[in-house]
Amino acid sequence: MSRPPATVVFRIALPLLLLTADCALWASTLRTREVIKPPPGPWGALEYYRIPLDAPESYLQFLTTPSQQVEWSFPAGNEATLQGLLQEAGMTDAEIRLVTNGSTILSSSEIMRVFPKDETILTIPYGTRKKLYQALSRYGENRYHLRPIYIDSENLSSWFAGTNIPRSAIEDISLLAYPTPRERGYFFADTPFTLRRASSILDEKEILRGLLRKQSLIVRLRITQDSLTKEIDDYWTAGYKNKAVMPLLESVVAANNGAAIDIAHLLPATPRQLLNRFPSPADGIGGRLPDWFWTCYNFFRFVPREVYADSPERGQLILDEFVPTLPPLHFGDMLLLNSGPRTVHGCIHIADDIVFTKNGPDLFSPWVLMKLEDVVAYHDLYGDISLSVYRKPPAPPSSTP
Amino acid sequence: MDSSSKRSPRSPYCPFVPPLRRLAPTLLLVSLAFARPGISQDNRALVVRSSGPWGIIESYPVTLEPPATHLWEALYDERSHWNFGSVDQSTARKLLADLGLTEDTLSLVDREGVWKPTASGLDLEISDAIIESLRSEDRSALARWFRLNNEYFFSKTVINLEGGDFSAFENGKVSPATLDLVKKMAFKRRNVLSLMDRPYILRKLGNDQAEKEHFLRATFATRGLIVSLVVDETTDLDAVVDYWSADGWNQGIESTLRGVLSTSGVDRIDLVQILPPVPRRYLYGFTNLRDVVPNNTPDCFWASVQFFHRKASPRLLDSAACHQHLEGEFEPFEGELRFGDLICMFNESDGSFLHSYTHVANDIVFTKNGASFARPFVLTRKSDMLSVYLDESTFYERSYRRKPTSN
Repeated sequence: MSRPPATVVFRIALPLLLLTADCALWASTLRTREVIKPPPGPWGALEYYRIPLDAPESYLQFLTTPSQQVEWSFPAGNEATLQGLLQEAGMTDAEIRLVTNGSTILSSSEIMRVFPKDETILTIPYGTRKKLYQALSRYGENRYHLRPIYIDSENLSSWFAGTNIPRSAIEDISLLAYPTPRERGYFFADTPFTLRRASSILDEKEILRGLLRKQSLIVRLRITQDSLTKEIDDYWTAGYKNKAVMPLLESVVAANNGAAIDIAHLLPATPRQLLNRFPSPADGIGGRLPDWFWTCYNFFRFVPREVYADSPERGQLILDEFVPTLPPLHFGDMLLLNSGPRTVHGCIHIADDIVFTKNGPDLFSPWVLMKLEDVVAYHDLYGDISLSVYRKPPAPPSSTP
Repeated sequence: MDSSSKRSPRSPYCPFVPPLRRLAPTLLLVSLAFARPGISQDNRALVVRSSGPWGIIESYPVTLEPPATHLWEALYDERSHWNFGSVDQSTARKLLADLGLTEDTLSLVDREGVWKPTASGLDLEISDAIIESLRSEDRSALARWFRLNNEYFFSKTVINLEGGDFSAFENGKVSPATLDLVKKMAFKRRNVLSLMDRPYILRKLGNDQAEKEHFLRATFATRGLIVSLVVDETTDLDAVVDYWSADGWNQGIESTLRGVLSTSGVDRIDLVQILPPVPRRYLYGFTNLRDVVPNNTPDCFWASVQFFHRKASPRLLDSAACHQHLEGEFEPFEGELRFGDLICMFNESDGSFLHSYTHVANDIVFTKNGASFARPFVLTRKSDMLSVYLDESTFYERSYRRKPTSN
């Protein structure tokens, strides 16, 4: 049986030492996160830190608990086709044998369902797991591989601090998480397997809730009377598109020179309302929940328009209302993440490569601030993401609110 | 409440009863130049700290001026006039004498005043000499008559200066000469400091457009607060989460607060991260045209009754009596206020609705004073909010809490 490479084990498992050292401390007061203070830019001097976002408890009722049985589905009618698909994914014959030997396979004329042994799941080397799970992500039946959980930290005890996930489940995660194609952060796709650590239905829900935890950033702008220049004014007002922001900045420096103001105050009304919040079931009353395009398109709109990533008018709206541009990025620029000819995601640049994003069209995807690199790593299942930038032209000064 | 109570969206000018509400045990500390994260050592602002069931909150004042783009054209109108509605000229002339205007002023009115019937009633165009002859008490008497008899004209003409002083004009932008003019024209309506000769001041500023803009922005300056919640090792997080969750009406804050607690170098979070969606959307913002319908605009009731709503509803702009909303979604209560409670102020004389606001914590409230485009939605101290309501009349307050099943 292969063991994970020692270096990777170290990178993942080391943070667990924190967890085992003192669970009570871990759960309550351990300060495992830091404030980052990047160099100032045209936006001013930012500082930010990460916070976890847990879905409201009432949402647990919407979760369907999956079977603990891990299942890999392939569009293959026979073993030869399956072998071909895995070879196409870059797996060697030895790797293919490793993941299929001892597995139970149920096949029909259209689909081959592979049920691996627990031991196989735990012992697949990282490189093999990465190739296999990438291959699985191409088929919609494998929903946990299609949208794996993204963990942007090597410190799992910090990531899951305050959740009710049992330590044994976190240990599983440390073994089963695999590096993203960009080698930034980790994917985890073995949610069903982790549920075996639950001893009750309630435990299962708590594990699912913990795994659904998302991370966001609290970002602050530190301003002084000297630093509140026209350049910063221009940056945050974004050519009159966000014109109401200056009175507040002016009054803050007048009242509290050197204060750090939460940039939630500097966002337009719609993203400010949504920031760090999960959608509400009521948001889906029109038939669906907001997705990335809804989020991007409505960033500067006071009243959101119901358009989505798959709306027929999406392309035309981008052509009509945005212009393609290049870095340096401005406040409010729309960044599209393209995988080949497909746009798989989009987000809005805020400042210093921090973006406003909603990473999924579902109830459990909140609106968050993230580093652009993390958003790309999150959506880059195959290591081929390229970015394109679109800017909303400046609005003319207007005499109406 | 009186079932006849109707909202009066154009009437943010509430009478006076200073109700001494019972406050939770509170420690107020005024501190200067704290050396800790979030507040720079350069800071000379007055930071107020208070503790109670809400935990510890810190706040410092800001003064929000409307952006120049929110100053609508009519505000720059330089025509000085009084409007007497349906009153005829002789009655209006007699009224001026009854209000106590001096013989000098009355004879100036007779010589230089121009009476004009208009679509909105009888106008008297007044000259600079008439305006300059007015005493503070003349202006107070006129304003009182307009408020009682021609509320629409009153609401367009009389501006209350928030805080009851001239500090908004001492911002380094408004010139000393303009400030002198403002002081000369300002008058008291009991505890409220008001201005009704805006056109006169604008005329005196000649062609100085920038100064006119500074003057108008300062005139509508609104006092707000930047508020932070302290989250550190001394915080009873369960109690704090309980307070700000408001019986489940404000969900999803616990993990955010725990995130603050687990971050080195951070021990406070801006209240904007904790507020429910609607107040968060509008906080420190001004009315947007998309929220306006032909005969109504967002006002205090609109802002406070939807505090826990996920989205602002245009239904609140309909001409429904406020008791419909209050009886449908709220229940009156007496006792300790908590986050999100709705407080309504009613006119003591007839029970009509005057103003409403949302209790946040300690003496901090969420409010929008009046329906004006130039007044933002703010977190502010109750005393600052009341500074434009403590005029000649009296009011009483009633507290409402959202019904558990009304979401």
